[in-house]
Amino acid sequence: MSYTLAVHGGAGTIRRTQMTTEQEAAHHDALRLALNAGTAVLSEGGTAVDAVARAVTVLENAPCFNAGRGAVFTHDGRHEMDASIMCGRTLEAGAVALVEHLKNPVLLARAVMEQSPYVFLSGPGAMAFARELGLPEASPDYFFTPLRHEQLQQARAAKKIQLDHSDKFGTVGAVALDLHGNLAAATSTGGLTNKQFGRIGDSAVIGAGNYANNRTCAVSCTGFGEYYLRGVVAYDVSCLMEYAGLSLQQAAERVILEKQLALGGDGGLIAVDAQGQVALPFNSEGMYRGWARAGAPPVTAIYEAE
Amino acid sequence: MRTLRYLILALPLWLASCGGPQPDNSAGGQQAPAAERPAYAMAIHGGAGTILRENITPEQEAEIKAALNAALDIGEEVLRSGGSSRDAVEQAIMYLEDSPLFNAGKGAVFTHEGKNELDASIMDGLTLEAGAVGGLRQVKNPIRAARAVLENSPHVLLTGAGAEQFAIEQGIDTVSSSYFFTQSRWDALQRAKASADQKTGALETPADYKFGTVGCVALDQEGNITAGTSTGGMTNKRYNRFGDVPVIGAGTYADNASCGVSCTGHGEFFIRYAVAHDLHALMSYQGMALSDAADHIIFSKLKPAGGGGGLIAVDKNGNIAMPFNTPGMYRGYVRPDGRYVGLYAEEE
Repeated sequence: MSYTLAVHGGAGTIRRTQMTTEQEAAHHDALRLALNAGTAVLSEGGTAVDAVARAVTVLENAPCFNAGRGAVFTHDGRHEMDASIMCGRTLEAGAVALVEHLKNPVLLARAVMEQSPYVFLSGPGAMAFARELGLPEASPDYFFTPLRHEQLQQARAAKKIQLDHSDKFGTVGAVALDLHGNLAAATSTGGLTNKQFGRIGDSAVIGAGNYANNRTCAVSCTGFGEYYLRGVVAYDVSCLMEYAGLSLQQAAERVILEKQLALGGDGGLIAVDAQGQVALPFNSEGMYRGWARAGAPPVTAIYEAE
Repeated sequence: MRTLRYLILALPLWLASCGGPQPDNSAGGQQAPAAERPAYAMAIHGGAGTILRENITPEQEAEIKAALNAALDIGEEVLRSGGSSRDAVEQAIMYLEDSPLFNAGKGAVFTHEGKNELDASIMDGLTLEAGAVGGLRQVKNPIRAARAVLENSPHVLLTGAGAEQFAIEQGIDTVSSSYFFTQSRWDALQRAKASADQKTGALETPADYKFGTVGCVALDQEGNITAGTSTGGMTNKRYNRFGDVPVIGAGTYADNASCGVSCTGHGEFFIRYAVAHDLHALMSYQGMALSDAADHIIFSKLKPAGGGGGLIAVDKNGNIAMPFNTPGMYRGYVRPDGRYVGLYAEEE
């Protein structure tokens, strides 16, 4: 038995011509840091849940992705973040939505899974739970990045919610198979620029943006969240494997390249199955992604056909 | 290989239907196969849980059955006159929300802080469009807000004060919080608080528990399926908790290619098992019949895991399934060939 880890930093319109060499390097570095953090856990015999939580924490701390530090702004100029985590061995899960000021939403999702009788907490209530646990918070300055602020001004001026794919989505996630044969998945996001009305996307929804089951696979999604909610995308990959007998690659491609494309849902997903196979399909122009296995150097990629 | 897997899955169901060790709530009114596709079909529920004949007076039973029948009347009238399954589902659920007998709208349970936080969702099986709301405190009929999200917003799930603002902008009726109050739900909160571990809140499902969610699934004359669900959630819930009801794929799902589903039960389990979507997937990918797939999920997956509850479902051919693994579930269905309303497991 070997271990496998895959991570993503969002899918969307990522064009080579619009990225500077420095920006490219920063994204590759952040993905590699996340892979290193996760594989450090896995190579020592740590659990898949620990590994995905560690990897996503690193991605949340990186300002270049839309999660934790660097999260996009809401219509009101705030950061409302969603995250979820699921253990493939127990099918236990935790999710939080619309949390503010919290440095690492994925750690609150994990606490919901492990230290509460609930699966899905939101808003001020979720933050009250985070404060009881003493999870680290930060001031709005910590989450601020000039790029995201500029995107909010543009979206406000155009009076639109950023749903037109002109920007990459930037959600982060990780999926892992540990040395004990257990799978886990974690996902975290700042959601959509200029969002309002307490909107929640797929990242906080078990089955839609995040799912893990030792019988099949672990999945973390990134994309146009509303379509992923309607398609119950992450669990659908698992269902196609378990019920239709598809391989991981077939199931992941069926969902992203056929079903979501037909529905209109731009984006992609990362997935690992119980044998350590990895699938990373996306129907957008690019997806920040990476994967690592025991005994091989980690690989990171941004554009198609890399 | 695929056939083999199907046989393995089907075996426990076959044993159960032969009077095996598993309680078989799939008898009687829980299944209604249709010989050929009827003009319309509709099923409703008013929640599953510890619903026992000895705890309910004949008067209460008559009252509950009258309310279920009234909701069926409303939905059937829409469907019979050629209306859409979306209208039928919304109107039947609005009636159940307005009734203080069920945990949705008026009569919703109280949170730990003594408030009502209402969740609802609706999904269209033709377009796979969906709308859901979570944590509403003033909207009189949350199912209307869920429908407005589906029809008039680019989003699927809106929550909290923001969702309420959206509903108000949509011209949906709001009420003061006292509208939702019922003495029995208030007393239930006091009992839950007294018995719960003070540190963690009401964490275990009490032995005596009713998941009073309401829901409706309808197949209209055009062959379109809609599913909707509405709830006040769990008594004594904390931290702005959501259950399965606002989660598309967990508490509600609809696809004209397979079926529509509305769930009621211990929401956390229904989220983890993505129950409503699972029924669709078992039918679509494994070719299971509606009642086999529904029984498999409720009895072979949820029950061993500890997930109490049930579901109602209508498939594209007008077949109906209403399995539950609790002692009872308020439920009913109507088709041109007949009608059924029941509360307990053993009811014919």
